[in-house]
Amino acid sequence: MGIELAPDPAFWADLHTPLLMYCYAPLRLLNHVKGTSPWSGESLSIAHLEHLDDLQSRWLTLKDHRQNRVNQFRDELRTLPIIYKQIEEQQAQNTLLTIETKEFTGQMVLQKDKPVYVSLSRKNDV
Amino acid sequence: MGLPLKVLRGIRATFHPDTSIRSLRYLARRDKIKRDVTEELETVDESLVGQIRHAYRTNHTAQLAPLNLAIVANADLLLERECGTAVRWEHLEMIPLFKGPGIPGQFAPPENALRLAKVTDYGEMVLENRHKLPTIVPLHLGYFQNAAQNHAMCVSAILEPKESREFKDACCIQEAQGGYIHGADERFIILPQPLRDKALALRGVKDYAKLWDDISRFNHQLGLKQRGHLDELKRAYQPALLETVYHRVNPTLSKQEPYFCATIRSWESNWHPIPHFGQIYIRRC
Repeated sequence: MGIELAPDPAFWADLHTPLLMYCYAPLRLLNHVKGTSPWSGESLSIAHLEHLDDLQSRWLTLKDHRQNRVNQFRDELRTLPIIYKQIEEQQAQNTLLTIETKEFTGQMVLQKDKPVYVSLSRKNDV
Repeated sequence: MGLPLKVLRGIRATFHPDTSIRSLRYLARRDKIKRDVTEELETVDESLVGQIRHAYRTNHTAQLAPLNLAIVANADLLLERECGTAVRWEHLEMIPLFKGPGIPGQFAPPENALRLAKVTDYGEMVLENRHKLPTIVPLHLGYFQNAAQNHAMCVSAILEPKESREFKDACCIQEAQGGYIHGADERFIILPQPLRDKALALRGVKDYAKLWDDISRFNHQLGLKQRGHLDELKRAYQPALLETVYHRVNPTLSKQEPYFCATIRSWESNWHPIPHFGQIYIRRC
């Protein structure tokens, strides 16, 4: 698992492909090689559908459910206690730090104390 | 031989609260045993707590200053960011992130700005920012190049406009390949997630072979040759890796559901791509 934040969409557009292709796609492959069945998650039930309104209603319910799960996760990240940080580099208003939380480790760039670049990986995530 | 007074007090508190502390003194061991607690006898502990303990025990508290310790309670990494709807492709779930606290255009995009100028020696990389804006070297950036030893960084960095910098703690990611990488405009890679905490822990260590064992283990887990060659991943799985990047169907829908995709998409007011500022990746088992 990892959290990747870029300063702006142009930066993200450059970073996204190598990040997903080499860094995170192997996570998908690891389970595939082990023969683990993919997590089924919450799927949209389409049994006994009678009309489109019914489909729309089921879709919105499912979407809300998924979004609630994301929001719970987001809230956890918003109160993440950093147990260790070390300033690695400081240039004008930008500061590069190594940070460690109970679960994650990585580096981030603060611009005027706001995180503009973050790259955190879960420890021992194999 | 009796038990130490502290132990007896603990037993009393739990099992015999009515026993007086005075009577415990008669039961307790009288002789005092002085233990030599020296660093040599202790297990080497490189954790943060271990470093602090070592600094105080050896009276080298000045060592604590560079650690620049701080406990930051409730740090908000998602400050001013918004989460989108999660999408999943087999075992990999992705949560897109929108907006951000920074002003766009403060940093040059890395692919555009960064260039591997040269590898001066094994484990030493020179990176150059060709842009007029500063840029951030993404954490664990690396390069693959034919007929030269592939390298990757253990750290991130901020490079000023037109700055060239040598990093002496990079790692070789191709064990049995000789030859230095030449200046290249090739696309960079990022180390696979299971190797990243290992690479970060090895920052500052000048040993180009430092990640070979971890790469070898990682390859083994993927059913590849057990050796320190990260290019094994690319050779064996490039189509599958690309497939993850260019997978366009909403992956949260099951096999039967794509028939309804068009209808569902028409209900989505935000189906058109929104500029992303990041993503959260979760491996679902």
